[in-house]
Amino acid sequence: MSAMELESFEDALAASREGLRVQLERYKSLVLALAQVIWTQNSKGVMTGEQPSWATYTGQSLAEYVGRGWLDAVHPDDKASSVAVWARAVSGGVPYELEQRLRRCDGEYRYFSVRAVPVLDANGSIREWVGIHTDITERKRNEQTLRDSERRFRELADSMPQIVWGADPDGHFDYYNQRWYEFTGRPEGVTGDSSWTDVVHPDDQKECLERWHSATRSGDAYEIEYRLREKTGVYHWFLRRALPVRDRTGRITRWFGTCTNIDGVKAKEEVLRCANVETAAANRELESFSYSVAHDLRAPLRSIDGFSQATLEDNADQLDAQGKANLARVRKAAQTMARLIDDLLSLSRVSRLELHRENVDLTRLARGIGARLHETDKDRDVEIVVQDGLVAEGDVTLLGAVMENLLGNAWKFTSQTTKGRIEVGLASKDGREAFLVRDNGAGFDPAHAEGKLFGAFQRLHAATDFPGTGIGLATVQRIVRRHGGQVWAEGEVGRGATFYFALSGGA
Amino acid sequence: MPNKIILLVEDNADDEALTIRALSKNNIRNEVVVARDGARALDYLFARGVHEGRNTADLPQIVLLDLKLPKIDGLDVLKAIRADARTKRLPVVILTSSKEESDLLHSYDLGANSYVRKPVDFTAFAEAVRQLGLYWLVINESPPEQRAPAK
Repeated sequence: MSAMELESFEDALAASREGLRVQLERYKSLVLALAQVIWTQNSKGVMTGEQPSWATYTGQSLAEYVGRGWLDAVHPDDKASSVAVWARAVSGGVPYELEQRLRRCDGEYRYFSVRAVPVLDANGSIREWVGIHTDITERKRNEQTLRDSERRFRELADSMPQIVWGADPDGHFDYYNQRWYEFTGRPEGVTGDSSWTDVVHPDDQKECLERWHSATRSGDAYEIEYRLREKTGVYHWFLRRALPVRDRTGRITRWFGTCTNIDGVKAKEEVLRCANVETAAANRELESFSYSVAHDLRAPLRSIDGFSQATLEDNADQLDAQGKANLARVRKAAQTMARLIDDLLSLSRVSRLELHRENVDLTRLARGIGARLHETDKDRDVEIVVQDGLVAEGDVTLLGAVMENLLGNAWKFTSQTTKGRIEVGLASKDGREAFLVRDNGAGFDPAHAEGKLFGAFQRLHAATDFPGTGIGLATVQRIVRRHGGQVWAEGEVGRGATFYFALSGGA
Repeated sequence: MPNKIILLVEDNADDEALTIRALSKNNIRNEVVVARDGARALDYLFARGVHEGRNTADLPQIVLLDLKLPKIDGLDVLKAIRADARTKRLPVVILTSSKEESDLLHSYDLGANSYVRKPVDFTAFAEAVRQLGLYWLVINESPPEQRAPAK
C-alpha cells in the first residue's frame, strides 16, 4: 500500500469511525429517551455476549456485565429480592416480573419494572431469556406524592378533636379518622353503611338517615344535631356537618363530614331554657301581682275618697271650713295614690309587653295627642308644631306611650308660659338621627337633672307647681331602651326643655 | 213601669255602699239586689239555694258585675249567664278596678255588654254610675221578656 493509499484509507477509516461514533451517540440517546432497556440472558440466567441496550443505559462494559456482573448495576437494597425472584423463575422456567432500582450511566438510580420471559427451542427447553426494563420512576414519584398527601390528610384528620368521616358519591361510608374509633370503641378500619347507624340515638336515627339520604340525592351540604353513643354507653350531642366534594364538572366525587361534640352548647341551651321558663314564671307571678295591686290597692282608696266625699255631703253642717279643707286633702291624696298605682302599673307593663316592630307614623300620633290635649284643656293657648313625615320603627302602643308622656310633659311644663309652644321633629345629634320634643316651658336645671330626670319617682319640680308622679320619663326611658335606643334631654331653667330619643333601627 | 231590679255583684261592702250612694244621688230608685260572690249571683239568677222558688223569668234590668269575686269569679259568672238560654241576652256591665288588657279582652269575648273601670275619685265614680243608669235603665231597650222554656 502506497503512502497515498494509506493516507486515503486512514481518512476513510476516520470518517467511518466518526460515522460510527455518531451512530452510537444516536443509539445511546434513543435508549435513554425510550427509558427501556432490552437484554438477553442464557438459559441459566447469565448475561453473555453483546448487550448494547444494557451497556448503553448502565454504562457497564461487556467485561463488567457478563455472568452475574449485571447485578452490580442493581441498587444494593434491591439485589437480594431481585435475585430471589430471578432464581425462582429461572429454576422453574416461568416468566417473571419485579421492580428494582437500576443505576443509569450517570450514576442515578431509577425505578424500573422488569419483565422477562423464557424463549424455548424446538424441543421445548429454554434457549434463552429475553427481558425488558421499563423506567417507572415518574409513576413511583407520583405514587409517593399521593401516599405523602394521603398520610398528611390522615395526620391532619387524626389530629382534629372532631370526628371526621368520608363517603363515596353514593353515600357509602369508607373512612373515619382515629377519633371515631376511639369514641365508638369499634375496631379500627371498619367502615361501610352499617358502621354508624346503630351508634346514633334511636330517637335521632330516623331524621339522621332521612337527612343523609336526601342530601346524597340532592347533593346539598347540611347540618344536623344528634346524639352518638360513646363506647361507655353514654350518648353525647354532636353537630354533624356533611359537605360534598365536586370535580371540575360539578359531579360529586366524595362526601366529607365532621361530627363536633356540642355537649357544652347543649348544656348551656338547657340552662338558658330553664332560665327562660323561670323568667316566664316570674313574669306570670309579676302579672298576677300587678293584677292584685291594681284591684286590691285601689279599692281602699275608693273608700277613702268616697266616704270623705260622703262625709262632706252628709255632715256639711257639722264641719267647719278647716274640717272641709282637711277632708278635701284626704280625697286629693287618695286620688294621687291612685294615679301613682296606675303609672307604676303602666311602667311595669312596658317591660312585660311583647315588642311588635312596625313602621309607626309619629307625625299622626303626635298630632292626635296634641288634639286631645287641646280638647281636655280648652283654655290653654299652646301652639303644637309637628314636622311632617316622621316615621319610627317600633311598637305602636309603646311609642304611643312615649309621645303621650313627652307631649304631656311639655304641655304641663308650659302651663305657666304665656305663649306656649311645643315642637315635634327630627334632629341630627352627634351623627345620628333622633326625634325631639321641644317646649318653651319651665325647663330644668341640668345640674340637678343628672341621674334624676329619667329615674322613677324623681321629680325636678314641686308637685304644687307641676303635679305628677315622677314616673312618666322613667316609662319613656324604659320603652326607648327596650327598642335598643337612647333618650336624653337638654334644658335650662325658665327656657324650656328638649327631649331626644333615637331608636335602634335608626331614628 | 215595673220596678226594674239592678243586680249588683260586689264583694266589697264599701264599694257596695258607694255604688248604692251613687245610684241614689242620681235619683236612680230601682231596687238593688246585692250578691256578695259569684255563686250567690248565679243562685239568684237561676233561682237556686236561698233563692229557690224565685221566678227565673223575672230577670234584672242590668247586672253590674265585679271581676274579682270569691267562690266563682266574675268571668265565670258571665260565662254561666251567657251559657244559659234564660239569661243569655241579659245585659251585663263589668264594673271593676282592673284595666288589664286581658280582663277587657276576656270580658268582651265572653259577651259583656259594657266594661267600666271604677274611678277612685268618687265624683267621677258617681258620674259614671249616673251615665250607666241613664243608659241601661232608660235609653237602652231591653231584650223582649222570654217565656219560661217548655219542659
